Parts: sequence; structure tokens; C-alpha cells
Amino acid sequence: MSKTNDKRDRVVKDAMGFRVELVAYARSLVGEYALAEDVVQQAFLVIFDKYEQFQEGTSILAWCRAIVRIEVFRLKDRQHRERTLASRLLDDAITAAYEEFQTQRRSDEMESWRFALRNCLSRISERARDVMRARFVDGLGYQQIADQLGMTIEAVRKSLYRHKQKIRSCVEANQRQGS
Amino acid sequence: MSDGSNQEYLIDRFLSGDLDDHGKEALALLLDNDPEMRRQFVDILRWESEIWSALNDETAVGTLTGDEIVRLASARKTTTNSKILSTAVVVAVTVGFFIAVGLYQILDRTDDIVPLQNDLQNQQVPSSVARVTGLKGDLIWTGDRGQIVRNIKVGTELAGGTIEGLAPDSWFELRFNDGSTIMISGSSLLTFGDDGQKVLRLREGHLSAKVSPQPNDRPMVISTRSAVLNVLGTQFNMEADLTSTDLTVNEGAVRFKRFSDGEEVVVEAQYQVTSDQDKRLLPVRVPSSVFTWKSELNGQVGNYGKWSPARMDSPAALKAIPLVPVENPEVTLYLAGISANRSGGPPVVVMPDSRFVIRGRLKEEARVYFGIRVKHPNGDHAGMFRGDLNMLQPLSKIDETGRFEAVYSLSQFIIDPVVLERQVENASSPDGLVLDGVWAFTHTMSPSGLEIFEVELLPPDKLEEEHGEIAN
Repeated sequence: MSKTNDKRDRVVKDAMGFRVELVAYARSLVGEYALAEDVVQQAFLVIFDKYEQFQEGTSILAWCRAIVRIEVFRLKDRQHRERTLASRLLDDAITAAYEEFQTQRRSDEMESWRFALRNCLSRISERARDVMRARFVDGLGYQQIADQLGMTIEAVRKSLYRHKQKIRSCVEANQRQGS
Repeated sequence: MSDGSNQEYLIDRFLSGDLDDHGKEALALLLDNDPEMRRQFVDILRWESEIWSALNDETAVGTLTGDEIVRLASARKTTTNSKILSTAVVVAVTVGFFIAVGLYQILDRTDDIVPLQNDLQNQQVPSSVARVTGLKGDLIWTGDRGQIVRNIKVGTELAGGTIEGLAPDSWFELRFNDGSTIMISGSSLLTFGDDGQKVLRLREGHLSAKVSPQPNDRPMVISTRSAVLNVLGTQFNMEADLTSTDLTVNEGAVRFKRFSDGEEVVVEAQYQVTSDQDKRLLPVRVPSSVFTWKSELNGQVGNYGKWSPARMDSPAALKAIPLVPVENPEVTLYLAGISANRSGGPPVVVMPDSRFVIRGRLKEEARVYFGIRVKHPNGDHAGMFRGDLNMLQPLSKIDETGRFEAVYSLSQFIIDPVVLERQVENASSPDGLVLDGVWAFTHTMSPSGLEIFEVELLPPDKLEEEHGEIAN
């Protein structure tokens, strides 16, 4: 395999390792996971094309995030979304927050962490999982979830809050035991 | 509800799409000002996204794998359109309908997928609110549609966005359609827009403005991390950083409100005020000019370089950092810049026959190039000058510890050639103008290790006797 392909495959593979992190960033800017996922898919294709521009020794997560940011703006442009000054300021502030606090974690560390997360998710009630699926996978608002599952908005909000906390505690306990 | 819960609630409302523009501004302000809020925001999104990913995998919605990306992109690069289309169909069937939508978008693109650096002239600006009337040095403009542009030109029409000065010698002037002008200089970051009301945000750096009369109910609003200014028509200068905002009003009046306690004052002409938390919000008269100056290296808004504290064997220093000039991307300069603006300090006037002295350290002998930025007494940008070009700058000799001292006489200063190339207005000489900032750099094949300990402006001998006090 040529050196060029080596670099390309390495960059793409490393970038794929940060897929969830990039989706999180895109989600902050576009407002829903389905769109965020589209944006990140587009970004991966750009990463494939532009892998040579990645400078070894610098943060690949930061480089990918910059590409995702451009893809977000392209998406908004295609959708003819008017961006108010408030939105622009918030986008800038969000980007600054990610630059400061989104860090690269080791892939083996992430693997064990995600395994723990799946394990913990499997332990919550089916009802709570339905609420989470409706919220995160289907991208429904509180009112829609409440209508769909026959709950009040407050019950939906509380369920999400409580079970996110439970999952977090479970994952952290799991990680402490494993370390 | 605790602050933490409030913050979480605000983030939750944002993620639910429930925030209007006021809410978004509040969230942006909190993120700007509170590191804990930034950390919490990223943390919440990380957890939610991991949960999304885990649940999403359970429902087996197709996503592109690395191999599929390679296959897709290779096909796009190396085959004809018809082959790409057939590849697209096969792949779309394999990985799901949503990817087909994505593929359509891919095919719809040009080869230059990511114009990380592009030319503004080739882009359509939806509705111009302002025109670039002057600029110099390294600048990046990010339009409100996300274009990142480094090649800005005088005359370019802009429809709002963010302008960032990347170097101490950067300077940018913008004229709104009503004739109001704003100018940033040095390492500054400004977001601006005008949808009937001019709204600006100075994240950091120096800004001067000359504002035409604005409607009473729609004043120009300039916000920083620590204060907000309402402007109806006036001329003023300001600077902002993480902790404070300083304002000097030259003409008219500006209403100044400090965020931390909501205190508000009207600052009249020839008065200045700072939002510094430790000081009462009290406008004070602009002090008289001085003719001498000594640099402040630490915590000064607009400084450029890496500050290192004093050690046993060395004073505090500002270390030069790499800069690749837009005009010549093949070159790497090692540059440090120091602002001469000080909160509440008097204007420093550069007198004929004054001289600048730089003291610092180098790894080895090198030419240390030196420039200054000056402004008019009313704060308007006046020009850039170089002290090293009239005669070939000699190598700076170093002692056994690498220390050097270089002297630049004002009589030798000439207009910065970059300004001449750009055909922007520049005073013919810095004499009698107010010092705004200085910068020094080396142009060597490898890092020169340039560190600045101190820059000093010394008046002519006669003046030195009359004005013995150093303005520091």
C-alpha cells in the first residue's frame, strides 16, 4: 500500500473514531441528531478528500470539528436558514466551548466506556428506554413524546432527567470497578 | 433552583429548540463568561450523544463505515458520472435511503469541497450592510453563512459576520451604509450585524467607532463579556478582554452598563470608564498626554506572544510566536506585539526625535525588525511605521546570556510598505500622534528564540528633562 493510502486510511480511521464526538458538536449547532448525522457523514467524505491537509502532530479531532463546522454552515445555507446575530454568537460560543473542553480520549478507554454505557442502558425499564428513544433517536419534543406515550410533559422531562442521571452513575460505577 | 440547575435547565431548553433570540444571547453570554458552563455544555452533549449512539445502534440505522467512505469517495474521484451514479445506487441500497440523499449532495458538489481559504469576490453576499474601507495585516472574516475568508479587500461589501485580526499589525475599518465607521486593530475579534439596528460584539481587542446619529429606539449596541454600550451618535474608543471593558469617549456620550452588577453610567466626551469589578463604575477625565512609555507584558489586551513570568536568572518576557503573513505564505516570522493602550492610562504621544529601545533575548545574533501603530488623538487609526527599513537593520549583538538591546530613532521611521501596497490612508509621519502598539519580529530560517523583556519610548533629550516621569 502506498504512503498516500496509508495516511488516508489512518486519517479516515482516526476521524471515524471520533464520530460520536463530532455528532455531539454538530447536534449543538443544527438542533437535531438526524441532521447532525447527515452533516458528519458529509464531513467524513470531505475528510477523505482533504486528508493530505491534516498536519501530523496536531489534533485530528479539532481538524475534523473545523470541517464539521463548515458542513453545518453549508447545510444551513442549503436550507436557506436565516442566522440571526444571536444564533451566530451562540454558534461561536459553542464552538469555543468545544475547542476548550472536547478532548481526545484513547480508543481502548472509549471502547470500555461505551461497553459500560450499553450495559447500563439495558438495565433501565422499557418505558424509560421508550422515552429515550423517542427523544434521541426519533428526535421528538417533550410534547410529542407525552402525546405518543400517554404521559404528561413534566413526567417526560423527569423521566429523561432521572434516567440520564441513573445511567451516568451506573457507567461511572462500572468504570471505577473496572479500573 | 441552584445556578447549576439553572444552567442545566437553560441548556435543556436550548437542546429542545425552545430558546428564542434573547435566550440564545443569554446562553451565549453564559458560555462566554463561565468556563464551568462551557464544560457542562460539552459534557451534557457528550452524554446525550453517547446515549443517542447506543440507542441508534440498537435500531440498526445504517451509517457509513470507514470502508464505505473510502469506496464512495474513490468512486466519485475516479469514475465517470454514470459510473458514479450506478455506484451511488448500489451503495444507497446497501446503507439506506438517507445515505442516498447524502450522495446526491455529494454529486452536486464541485471538486473543491472545502474552501478553507477562499476568495470573497467570488461569493455572493446576500444583503450588504457595510463596506470595507481600510485594512492591513492578517485578518479572517467569517460570514454569517460560515464562509471563512482571508482574502478580504478594500471595497468589499459585507452582510455581517465576524472579523478577526490575527496579528499585532492587523487593522480593519468598516463603514456601515449610514456612514458610521468602526475600526479594530491588533489581535481583536468582532461580530457585527445590522438588521435595522447595529448590533456588535467585541469578544476581545481594540475598537474605535465614529457613529452617525442613530434612531432613539434603535441605538448601536456593542456588547463585550463584561459590559454593554448603547450609542446614539458619537466617537469613542474601547478595548475588551475576558475580565474588563474600557471605554474612552471623545465626542458625544455613551451609555455604559456593567453586566456583573447592572450598574449603569453615561460617559461624556473626554471621559473614560472601566468595567473592572474592583473599581466603582465612575467616569474619570481623560488624563493629559505623556511622552514616555514602558511596555506592560502581562495581561495587556492586544498583546501578541507567549508570556513567561520572571525567573531567578531572567525577567518576565513576551516570547515571539510564529506568524505566516497572508502576503507571503512561504515565510514564517517570529513576532511579538505589545499594546500601548492602558486602562485609565494617559495617551502616549510620539514626539519627533524620540527613540524606542527594545531589550530582550535571542538564541543567536539576528536582525530584530520593529514597527509601531499610531492613532489620532480622537482614537482614529493614523498609520503603521517601520523603524528598521530606512537603513539595513544591523544584526543585534547578544551577550553571553543571549541578551540584546536595539535602538530605533523616530527620525528613521518610514511608512510600513505593506500599507503603501494596500493604498490605505496613512499619516506621513508618526510625529505628534498617539502610540497604539508596537511589534518586533525576526525573519530567520529557524526559530530565533526572540523574547522581549521591555520596550521603552524615550523622548528627545530636552523633553526627557522636562518630563522625567515614565508613564508606567
